[in-house]
Amino acid sequence: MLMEIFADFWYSTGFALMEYGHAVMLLVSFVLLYLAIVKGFEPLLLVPIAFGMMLANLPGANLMKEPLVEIMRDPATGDLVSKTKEYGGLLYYLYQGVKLGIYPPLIFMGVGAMTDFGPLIANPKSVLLGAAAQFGIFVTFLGATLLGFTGPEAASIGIIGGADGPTALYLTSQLAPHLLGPIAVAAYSYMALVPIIQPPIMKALTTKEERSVVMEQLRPVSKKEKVIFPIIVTVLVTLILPSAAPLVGMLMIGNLFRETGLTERLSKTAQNELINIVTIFLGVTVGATASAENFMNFQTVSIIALGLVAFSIGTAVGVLFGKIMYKLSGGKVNPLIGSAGVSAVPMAARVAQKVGQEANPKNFLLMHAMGPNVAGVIGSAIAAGMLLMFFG
Amino acid sequence: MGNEVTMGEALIVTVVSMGVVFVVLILISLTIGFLKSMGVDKKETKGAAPVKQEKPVKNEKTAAAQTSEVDEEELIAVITAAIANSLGVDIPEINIRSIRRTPQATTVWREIGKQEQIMGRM
Repeated sequence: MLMEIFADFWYSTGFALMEYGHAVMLLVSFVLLYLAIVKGFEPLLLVPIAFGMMLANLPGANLMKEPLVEIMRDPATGDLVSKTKEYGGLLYYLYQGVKLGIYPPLIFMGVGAMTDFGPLIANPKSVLLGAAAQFGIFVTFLGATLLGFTGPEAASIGIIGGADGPTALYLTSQLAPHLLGPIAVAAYSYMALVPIIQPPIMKALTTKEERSVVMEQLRPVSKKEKVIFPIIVTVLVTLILPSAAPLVGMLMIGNLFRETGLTERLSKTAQNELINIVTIFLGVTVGATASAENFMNFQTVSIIALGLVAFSIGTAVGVLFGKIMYKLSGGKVNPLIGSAGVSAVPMAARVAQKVGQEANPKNFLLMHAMGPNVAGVIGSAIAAGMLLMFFG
Repeated sequence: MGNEVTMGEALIVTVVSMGVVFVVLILISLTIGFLKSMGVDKKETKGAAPVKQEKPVKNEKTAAAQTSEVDEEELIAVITAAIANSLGVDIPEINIRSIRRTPQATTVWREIGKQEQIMGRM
């Protein structure tokens, strides 16, 4: 009798239920936790992602279990009704915010509230550099297609090149949710690695003379322009590309909160409390999608490799476009700011600043690089909208 | 578009999408330019323009005495010497008509401090 109880208990523990896949995924989550906590790789995102991955792979806990719904005929009315027989796991319900595409736009609202579009308004030409860097997305999309990924999968992998976490997760949740885990890990790891990936590419494609170009100071931007900007961009982009509305609309409403000067409380909430709350839910549940069958396959390896390609090409095309602008402007534009067109705000702009200052200590590129940087955010949201239109 | 795409279809997606990205961003860029030409920012740039006023230092002994105890003659001598040195000419060759203090938006120290902070966070 007692032995039976012990045996039952043993079979209900995670140790008895543990399979090979679970163990490997737990190890992966430990490595990611190590990278986040000890090495400081985007800890604000990687800690929740890795912990979610760990939780979902502890057997028996069933945190991602789907609810069991029974559809039956109501004996009284004869209508078909659905009845929940078993409720799902905690993370399953939190995951609905990702699945339905709710969390990423909310995060975008916070990003909007944190972003100053002033440098972009002061130098509208820098918008083009933000567009050029999106080539990384599509070259990777082509590469993934060649490797045999389906259209929606290839689109989700390509968007890693946008270097924009929320955009990548939004598109993936809509097109290829089974790839969320690997894509989130690839996107956020490479974003943390921007200062390592970008400088060699930037230096290889430019001469020291080009890198030392000191750019003219940006003109001051009036409050009126900053207030009108989010409104006009939302109307313009949404009318042209309705599928980009969730991302661009939320980005711009956050920005409007910031710039009106009258909605400071809303702006503060969007860029602090709200974005933090949503990031916790998003990170934990995205991590939780990384089950052994979704993660431990050749696809993950290809996604990680393609993600790096996407980042590198985005940077390279941005810099090359910067070189064209350098030539056309008669040497007034420093081509390094093109690399900031991959969105990763503000990391990519800081890298441009750092590389520029190495070449010429008097160089101050940060604000100039912020223009293409924030344009890159809009650019990758538009690219996501296009891919969503084709494959959604 | 279906799930399976051929390379040709993928190329079309790429070309069309990049085209739209460029067109939309160029439109945004033009709109910003339009905003500027509408004179939306007129008022504020006017205020930001530096105001130039000549204030002769000589014959203002009372004002100088109130603000600082620096010997005016000596200050003029130092400034003259510095200008002569940086221009590479002899002191008698330059003729200083007026010296005025310009309000500095950011000091050198502040600028360096800012730079160090930015470098420190990278």
